[in-house]
Amino acid sequence: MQAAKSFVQAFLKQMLLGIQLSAVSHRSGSLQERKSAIKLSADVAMAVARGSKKWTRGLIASLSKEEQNRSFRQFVLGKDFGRPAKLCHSSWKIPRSKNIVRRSLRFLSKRKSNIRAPNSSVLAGTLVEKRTQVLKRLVPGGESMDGFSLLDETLDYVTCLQAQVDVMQKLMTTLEASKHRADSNAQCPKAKLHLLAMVGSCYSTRKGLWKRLSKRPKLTL
Amino acid sequence: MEMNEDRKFGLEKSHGDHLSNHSSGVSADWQFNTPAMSAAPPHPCTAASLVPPLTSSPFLSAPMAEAFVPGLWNHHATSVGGSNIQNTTSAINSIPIGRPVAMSSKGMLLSTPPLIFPPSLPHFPADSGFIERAARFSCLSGGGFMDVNLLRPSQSVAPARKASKVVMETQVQNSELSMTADKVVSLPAAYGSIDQSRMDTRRDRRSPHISNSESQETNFCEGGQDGNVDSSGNSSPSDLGANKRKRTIQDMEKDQVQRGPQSSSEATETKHKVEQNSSKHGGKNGKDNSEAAEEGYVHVRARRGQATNSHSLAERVRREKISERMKYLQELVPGCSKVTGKAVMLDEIINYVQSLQRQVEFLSMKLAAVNPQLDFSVERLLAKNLREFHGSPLSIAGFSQEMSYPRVYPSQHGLGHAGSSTMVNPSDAYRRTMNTQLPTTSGYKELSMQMHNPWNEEIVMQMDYDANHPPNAQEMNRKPDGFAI
Repeated sequence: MQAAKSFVQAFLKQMLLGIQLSAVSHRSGSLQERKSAIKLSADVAMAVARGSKKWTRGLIASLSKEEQNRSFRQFVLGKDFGRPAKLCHSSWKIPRSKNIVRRSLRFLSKRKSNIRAPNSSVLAGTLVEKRTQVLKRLVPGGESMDGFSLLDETLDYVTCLQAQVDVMQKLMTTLEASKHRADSNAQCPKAKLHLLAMVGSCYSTRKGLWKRLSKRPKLTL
Repeated sequence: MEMNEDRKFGLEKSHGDHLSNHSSGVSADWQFNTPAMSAAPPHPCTAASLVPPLTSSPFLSAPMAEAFVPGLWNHHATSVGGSNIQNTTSAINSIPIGRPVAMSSKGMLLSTPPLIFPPSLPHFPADSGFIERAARFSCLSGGGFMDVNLLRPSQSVAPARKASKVVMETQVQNSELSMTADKVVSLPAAYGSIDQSRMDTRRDRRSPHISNSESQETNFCEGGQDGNVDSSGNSSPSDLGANKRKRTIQDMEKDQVQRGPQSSSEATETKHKVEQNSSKHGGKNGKDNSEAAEEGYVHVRARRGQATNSHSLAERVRREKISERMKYLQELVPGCSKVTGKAVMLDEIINYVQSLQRQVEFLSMKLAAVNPQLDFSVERLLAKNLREFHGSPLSIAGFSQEMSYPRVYPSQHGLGHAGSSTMVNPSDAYRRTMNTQLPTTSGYKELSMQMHNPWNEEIVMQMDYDANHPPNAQEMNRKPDGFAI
């Protein structure tokens, strides 16, 4: 539980910080820009909060590669933003000799054709293979993982995604509640309180920094 | 879990050959292709890979075994000779072995069909000393997660006589295991998807496996993990460790008591137990470990009736690891408990991951819509709402108190490791915030004392992602330390 709490806190903190940073750069963008900024900070926050895993590295690497994230990258990655290549261990493909692959594929297809009745194990194997390919594309940095570590990383990634979704939902309910001030008391008190607890615990000491970062006047309370 | 246990014992009872049982159970998971498997119990039977039963009672559910077995033998590796079958029980005898099988040993979890190797080992000496050591070793490595000292004596396990492959020192195993175990388990466990007690039981029963699989896994992804290790390592498994230690001790005693007067057939049972402690297979990790002196070696023994080929052992180990991971994933992904088979499971996982990603997109869109200025200022969020419940002086006083705490960089939090990880060097802004954002837990506790009671009760993070598990509201109410304002 402790690890989860700390992860959630770290994630929330990072995300809000990231959003603040991106708010500084895009004052008023279109919905799409804002949405991608939020998503970006959420992803980065998740990756940073989780620590060092293969998928986090892959995620950061893929995010760094995108051109539109350059300014954000500057903030987040500091000095290293110009060197995304260093982060991309996970984007290495498993080196495979073309000849060997060709030969093995030929062999496999021959065997498949030889076996009259569809050998269910082979069929199952190919099904699993296909799905593994899909999963590899889904999980960031999954291309270069072998089957076993892919499963492991998927496990981790799924838990982090769940946390991310949860935190974002709570953040949203809080914001919505604070927007409609009148009914904030009545509706969703628990979710809001949870989120506020998180937020408060995360940002307790950083009021000064927040003030510096958010250069816009605060809305009247 | 009860189902698993019953099935496990049922299987074993019906066979009389424990190896076949375990393998059949394991293969049952992934033998979705055979028609026999459609009759198989829906829940993947990891019992096969579990520690063999302590007693060798006669088998009962032969039909179930029969259901598993045909599928198994159909996809048997070519290496198994016909003569090896004789050692298997009558339930298995009728199945022809000699069929060539597309046994691929690619490095994927995919295409290797689960195998049962008929006993090919020459008969094992009924060595009571060895039995004792084997029992101890299996139990100890089962408890190998937590307590290094407890497992020290396991190193005296007899050197490999037959199919010994790689030996790893349990100490190395333990430290690595605790790291990986925590790393793997803590997050899922934390999110409530894996019940603590369930984890204990599962781990305890499958402890030999997990130890091996975890240890193997450390080698795979050891590089960047060290930072992350401590974050989750210290927190969650302490209870698990205590439970496991207790149980392993009980197991040990039971084992030793039972194995004392037993005959050679039982000796094979214990041997199976030991065999399941295979961690590094001969193939790739053998090279790494061969350099390590005596440390870094675990004896991998082939099960009775199985080929001692290093490939088969390696594949067995791999398969067990994979099945274990799939179990975790099953618990994590909602609605997957009834699904068997890799392909369907993977399908579900893919769907779930896609849905989660889509949810994130949607939520970020909604957040952007709600907040046109991207103004997520904390004060605005907090002050407005806190005032409704508390009056801001309290919270602000709480905050200012926190500022006086030393700016510790808590190493046990994931964020600390994010900072120290090689991949991302956050900017100074991030670093500063990271340094100060998480006050010590004592600080939290103190703050929580000041809190109003209703506030305290409500500061509960409902992290029940899995519908099967009730929210840990009660538990968290008692421990507000990590979460209070």
